[in-house]
Amino acid sequence: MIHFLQTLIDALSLGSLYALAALGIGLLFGIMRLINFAHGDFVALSAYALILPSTDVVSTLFIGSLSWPLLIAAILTFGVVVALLSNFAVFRRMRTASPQNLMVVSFALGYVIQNLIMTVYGARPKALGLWSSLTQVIDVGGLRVPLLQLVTIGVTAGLLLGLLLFMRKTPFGIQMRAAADDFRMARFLGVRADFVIALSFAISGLLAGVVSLLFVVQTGVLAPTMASDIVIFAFIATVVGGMGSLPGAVLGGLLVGAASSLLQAYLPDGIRAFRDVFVFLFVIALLLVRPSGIIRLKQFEERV
Amino acid sequence: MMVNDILQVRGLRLGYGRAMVLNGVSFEVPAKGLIAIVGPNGAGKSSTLGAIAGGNTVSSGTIIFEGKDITGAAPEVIAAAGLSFVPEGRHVFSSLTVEENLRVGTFRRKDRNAVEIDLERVFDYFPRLKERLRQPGGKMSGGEQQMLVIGRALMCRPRLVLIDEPSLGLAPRIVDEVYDILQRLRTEEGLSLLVNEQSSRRVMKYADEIIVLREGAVQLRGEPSALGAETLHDAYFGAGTFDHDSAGGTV
Repeated sequence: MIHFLQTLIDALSLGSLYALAALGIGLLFGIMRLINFAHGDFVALSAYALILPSTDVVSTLFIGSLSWPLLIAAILTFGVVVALLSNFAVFRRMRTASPQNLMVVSFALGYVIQNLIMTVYGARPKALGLWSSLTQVIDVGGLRVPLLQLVTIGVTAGLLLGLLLFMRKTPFGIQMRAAADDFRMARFLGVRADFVIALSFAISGLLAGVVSLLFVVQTGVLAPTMASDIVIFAFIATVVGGMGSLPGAVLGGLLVGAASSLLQAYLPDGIRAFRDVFVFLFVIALLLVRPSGIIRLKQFEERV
Repeated sequence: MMVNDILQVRGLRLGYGRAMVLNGVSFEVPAKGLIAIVGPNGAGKSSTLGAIAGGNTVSSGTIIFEGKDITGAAPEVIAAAGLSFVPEGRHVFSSLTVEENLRVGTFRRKDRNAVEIDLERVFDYFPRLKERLRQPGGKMSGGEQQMLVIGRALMCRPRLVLIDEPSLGLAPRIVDEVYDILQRLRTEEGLSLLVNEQSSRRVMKYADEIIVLREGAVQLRGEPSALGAETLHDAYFGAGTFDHDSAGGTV
């Protein structure tokens, strides 16, 4: 029972990370049909901003040396700026491009960012100890839980609630939902296309910043491709949840994270190394039953 | 060119690829007037309205709204200038509530305190919307959706509204209701209207002028009372196809 509860917290914490990344991807897909594979590189670049630019093997803290409220504010701002710059430099110029072309461009942008990181910081992974007090394990009624997992779950819950209120209650959020529903019609009603798209990039970048912090504290390592796995799983999460649906992205992220953690805990030792194979089998099975994902949106359904 | 025309369209041409859809369309909408464009499927009616609203790229020609050239302006700029567009197929934001649908167009208005008054006015014209404020827009009937999108356009506080096929897919009783409301909006709010219809019979009763569009060109224009069934039929289907035995104004 204790073991199961601990696995459950594992699942929720990993699922939270996937959910945040999936939201960052799902938001842009909903508004402009962009499947942004550069999202992981937004995460990586934001994480690297913690240290001084140098190709030394040893990392020297830069933003990472600030007090925690300043550090969080700086990294989140950095994520927002990276996303906005990507929009202004690249995606803004291809507003009318097809979703396939947009996706290819996002791959290209991702490689550019990765190589930028390698040039400026070096290609080798670097150790980075940040907020090591968060990695301590606390005892909650016999349950031994890493504090970071609770923080991850709490931060995610808070962000989700904030985003939900933003999307439901504010003029900006309502305009974004209208644009995600029917972009052309929203413009005919005066919703500014540039503004709504920039806003989605900003929120997506903010989420990338949050993921970068949570991830770096958890792993203690910086690497140019550090977030590739997260982004692949997050993308799968958006597909599982239903492309374009934000609740779907969150649900998909939690589900994929949970499947991963539960398989890790309960697969027999001999085949545990093949955990991801089973995760993907689960995803395939789910998509066979519900091809449009858990939450179906009619504007994305293929017309047959 | 009259001084009190709210909209002037001059020599509008546009095409998709090599196929031209509009070959120099010109007309104007007088202030507080109701002008109807009629014509068969594929005549270029929707392309005309789309071009005026900034949704379609124009090859040549000019569109003047309230004396300002709006040719090629972005849809959101045209909407903010006071020209609203209700496209064919209604395009209700199905995941937004009825109230959110109505408010989407109000966030850029400078007269924020007038928004609540306008909302009450829309409810005055479309009482059924008030009963369904919290309902998702996608869950409404076709007639209710048509009322919602007209109400939604009104919330932008336009002076000219373009409506593409308001009667499409609606029961005749509902169509009458929609047109009665459009008529009221003209007289009570001083709104100007440009309406597309495939069938001219109904708009004959309400329009100041009928413009017959076929093959991307204006074939005929005039006051409904001055247009005979035969001339209208010939303009609509092409000359020499009028069948005198079944002439009953079925167009």
